[in-house]
Amino acid sequence: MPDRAKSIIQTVVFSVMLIVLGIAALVRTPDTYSVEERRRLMQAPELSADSVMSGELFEDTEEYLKDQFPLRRGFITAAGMARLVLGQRDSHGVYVYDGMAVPIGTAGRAEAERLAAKLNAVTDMWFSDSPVYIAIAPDKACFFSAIVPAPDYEVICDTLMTQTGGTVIPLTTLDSDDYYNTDHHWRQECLIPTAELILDEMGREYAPFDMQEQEVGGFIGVYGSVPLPLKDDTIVCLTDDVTDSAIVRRAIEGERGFEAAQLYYPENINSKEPYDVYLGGACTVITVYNPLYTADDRTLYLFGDSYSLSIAPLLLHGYSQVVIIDIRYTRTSTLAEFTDIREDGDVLYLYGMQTLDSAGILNTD
Amino acid sequence: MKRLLAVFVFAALALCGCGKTTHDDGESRPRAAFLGSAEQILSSVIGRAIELDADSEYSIAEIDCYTRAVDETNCVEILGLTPEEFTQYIVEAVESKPEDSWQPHSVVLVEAVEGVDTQELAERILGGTSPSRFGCLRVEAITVGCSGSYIVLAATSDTGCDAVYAAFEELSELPSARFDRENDWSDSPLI
Repeated sequence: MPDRAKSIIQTVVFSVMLIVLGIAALVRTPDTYSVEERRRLMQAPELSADSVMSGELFEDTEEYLKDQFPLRRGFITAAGMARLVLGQRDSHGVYVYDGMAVPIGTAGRAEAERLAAKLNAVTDMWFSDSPVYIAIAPDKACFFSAIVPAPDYEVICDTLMTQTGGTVIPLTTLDSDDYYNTDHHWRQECLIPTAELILDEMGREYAPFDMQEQEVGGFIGVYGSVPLPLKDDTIVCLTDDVTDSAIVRRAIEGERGFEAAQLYYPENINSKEPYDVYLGGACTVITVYNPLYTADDRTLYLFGDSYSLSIAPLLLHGYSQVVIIDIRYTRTSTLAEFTDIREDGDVLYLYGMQTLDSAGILNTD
Repeated sequence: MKRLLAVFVFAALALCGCGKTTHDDGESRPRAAFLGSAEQILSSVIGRAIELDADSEYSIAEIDCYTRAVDETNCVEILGLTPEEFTQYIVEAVESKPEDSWQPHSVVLVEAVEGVDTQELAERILGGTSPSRFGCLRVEAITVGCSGSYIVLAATSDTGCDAVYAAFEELSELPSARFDRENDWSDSPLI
């Protein structure tokens, strides 16, 4: 092909792209939210004399065009796919292994020491005379430590054991299949052996688990909203007489009062945080009563994050009451304003490794 | 020629003195960007930011916050500094964060040790603050501002960050600079 023809084709293609994408950027309806980035997207700035004179209009327009560029998601996806196709083993710290997204993990002794200091502060403040147990949900990477950078689960458990006065329960019942393919969370329907392990270690009596699986719907986790080669996920809720008769109360956001709630919120499968199906998601304090438990009236104070919300309905089988407390969102010193602190209660600190990795966010005042 | 040079040198020295205030003890010191404790300054900045952000759809005025000290136990997540660095660089730091709420929002006021390059420290804090310190939820924007020996860190909504920096700039006695973090805190493996 003659050079002149090549130049004409290049110029025409380039011009058409500029014009078409430019017009598309102007006429398309702006997206409001990016699922992948979990944030609202910039909307068209308002034109005013002030915004022009201050330069704000131009800065905001630049942000708007970056957020609302036509085919933005497609371009970003293509860039990510290209990295994997070209042989990069991970994409932004996430490996894909056998249809499962496996984020790398780096937590170790230092992170465990920081978490231990935080847990000791809570114990000293409210539970110095109570039995204290600690369980950490291992990252998926722990099961792929031969091929991806992974936290040293054994070192973490040993460190927590030596640096707290509590009993550490290594969750040896878990396997990589007990986690979602597209998310870092564990799957409730796989947690019965883990719940049994924890309840046994805490010396609790409970009837054998005989729970039904209720499929809520397809689940796209934080790693699954783009076309990586990942297997599908489904959110399942386990139910039986105990869960059906549980009485649940959630603290009202920004207040110390409670409102009636439920164990499962199937409608949240369509929310921005589908894992909020379990107990409605983030909350400062949730109390769950089990009127069917008759062996004693012992309370479990369950300090945790989102991992604790999905296992709480199972742990309820060994207690008359479970109080779930998230001190990422409330101060430890205010606990007595939410619930009675009973010296004869059991304390379980149950966290995922994301929280272990950033223990400073726990508000121990 | 020598006289002319002497005049220039004298004028230059005189101009250098213009930017300093003389205290009662006769010692010449740079003006402070703010007066008062870190908590007082933070309160003023947030008060003004709330006024500026009042008309926003997701105004920070709607968030009930309390103030707590940033210390060696939480500086890694909040400021991205090790406890040793925190002790070395920071005189005092306080954070305003939501009370009994899971809304991702945090405003921090930092007073740096005299002699520390606050702009460099501000940029370190901007890159080091943990976006995952709000649990599963994520902030929209992260911004730092620095002025004199003070740094403000805002991690909240887009308009909230703008309002906090605008208030910081407005209330500071010295020129200030702003830095924004490019959104690198998505959980998505492709972004």
